[in-house]
Amino acid sequence: MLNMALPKGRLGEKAYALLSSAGYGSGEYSDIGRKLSFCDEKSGVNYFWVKPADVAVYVERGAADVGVVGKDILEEECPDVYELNDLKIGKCKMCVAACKDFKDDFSRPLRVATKFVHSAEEYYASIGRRITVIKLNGSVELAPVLGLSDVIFDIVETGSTLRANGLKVVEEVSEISARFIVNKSSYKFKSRDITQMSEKLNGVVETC
Amino acid sequence: MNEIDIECLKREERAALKLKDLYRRYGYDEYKLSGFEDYSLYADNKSFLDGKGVLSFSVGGKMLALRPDVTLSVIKNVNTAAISDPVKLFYDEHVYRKTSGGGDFAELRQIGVEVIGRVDTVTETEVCGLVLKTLLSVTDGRYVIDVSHAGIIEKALNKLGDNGRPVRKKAAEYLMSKNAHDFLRFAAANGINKIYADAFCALITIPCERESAVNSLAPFSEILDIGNELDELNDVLSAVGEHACVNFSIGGDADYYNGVVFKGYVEGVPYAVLSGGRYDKLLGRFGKSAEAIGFALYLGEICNYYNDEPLKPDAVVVYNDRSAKNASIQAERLRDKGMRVRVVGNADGYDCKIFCAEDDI
Repeated sequence: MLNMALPKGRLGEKAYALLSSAGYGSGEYSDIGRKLSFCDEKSGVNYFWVKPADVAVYVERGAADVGVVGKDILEEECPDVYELNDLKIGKCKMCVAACKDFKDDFSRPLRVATKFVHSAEEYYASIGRRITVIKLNGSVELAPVLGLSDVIFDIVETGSTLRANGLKVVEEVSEISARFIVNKSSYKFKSRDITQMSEKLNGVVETC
Repeated sequence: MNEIDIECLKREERAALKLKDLYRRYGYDEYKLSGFEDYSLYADNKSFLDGKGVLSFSVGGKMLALRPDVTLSVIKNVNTAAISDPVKLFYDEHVYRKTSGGGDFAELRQIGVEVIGRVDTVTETEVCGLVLKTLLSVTDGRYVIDVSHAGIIEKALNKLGDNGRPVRKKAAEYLMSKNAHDFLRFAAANGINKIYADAFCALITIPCERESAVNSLAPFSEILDIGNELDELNDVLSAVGEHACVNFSIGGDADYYNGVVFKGYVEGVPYAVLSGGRYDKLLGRFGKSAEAIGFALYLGEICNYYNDEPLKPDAVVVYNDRSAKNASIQAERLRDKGMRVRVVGNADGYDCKIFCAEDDI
């Protein structure tokens, strides 16, 4: 039996649909998604739904053998797990955005508002720009509008939230999508089941 | 003095005794470390610590550290100039480092083996045998040893070139997380020769099963010039036997390791519980010219995942105000008969023989 952590919400719904196409899962997500856990005896998978940011924790610490998590969270948390597949769902971009009239002032540290503190620090260190990070937990787009920060470092899907708040993308940092991750110890002891799931998911992703 | 009843001990203590007995039977000498270490020992060899962190403090302006690792201290102290035969050592020490899974600093028991001097095939096979017996001592036989070779990784990384960007660092990260999809995108974006990118990708995606793993590397033997390293790897795989898996994702920093690298996993523990390998290069960093191989078992981490059943007494001696003085005498008599005896004021809840201190036993 494989224990699988899936993110609650839209990404979890898409991941479950992908698993169903690959021959896993049974029933509609709308029924199953309301439960916190669901055991599919037929395909030998025990699913549980957790907060997206917690999926990697469950997998790294072995409570789940495998999981689906966004690349943004993997880059931020750097969990010690294997990342076997790019599921190519939940696609978006990690971007730097600012007010339309933004002009960088290199004489002082750039004030960056973000939920992704580690990723922002890594990115700006890689381009040699001094920054001050302002950690926010949501509604990051407000920060430059209210003068709290110069820019934001956040994920952008369609850009409509940015536009609605008078912001524009000034830098695309990386592509984000959902990834299939595996606990390193489980990979040794359940290798056949995990490899099979990885290959089946790959097959479905390639044909999508 | 009575013999120690080993079954009375906690799992961690039992395992430590068994392992120390094992290493002594192989002719290894116990090595005891003393005091603290200079912080610089760890600051200069940060990546050897694998992100486990160092707890440091200052005494009289001197930076000292609580030991997060034992190997570095052993290497620093062993006089390789005076070695004719290999020095074979084992240790049982407490280390202070971050626990796996992004945990906080903790005091953890670590037991390990180091061989310093000339490391030939016999010695390498002996150490592999000890790795197997070490894991068998702490499990019921469900364990896997991942085996890698630092030389193969190094040669594959060298072929990727650098292009003025930190290509090696990124490629090594992809290898560690078995992330072939991002590596291939990265290789294409950085103009890495497709032949070498594919060879590196073969290291990332190597199958778990030993035979398929070896076969999957064969086409790249000539391209990467890794014939000798593959032979060495095969020797070690034969020594480790059915528990071995080839897995280059366990790493093996080329600044320290130069040959086989291994990591041990036991079922039920989500992290590696044993790590080691051939580390001649680490000795070189200390200006010492010798060969070395060793491994460490993170006994403290394993035992965090096992629950010891609370040990129940065979009997309790119940006393009251009148019989208080007699209680310990009565209990001692029972202990002399080989029983585990607890002296209590109230016997409620005890599921064992109950004696009253007032009675004659």
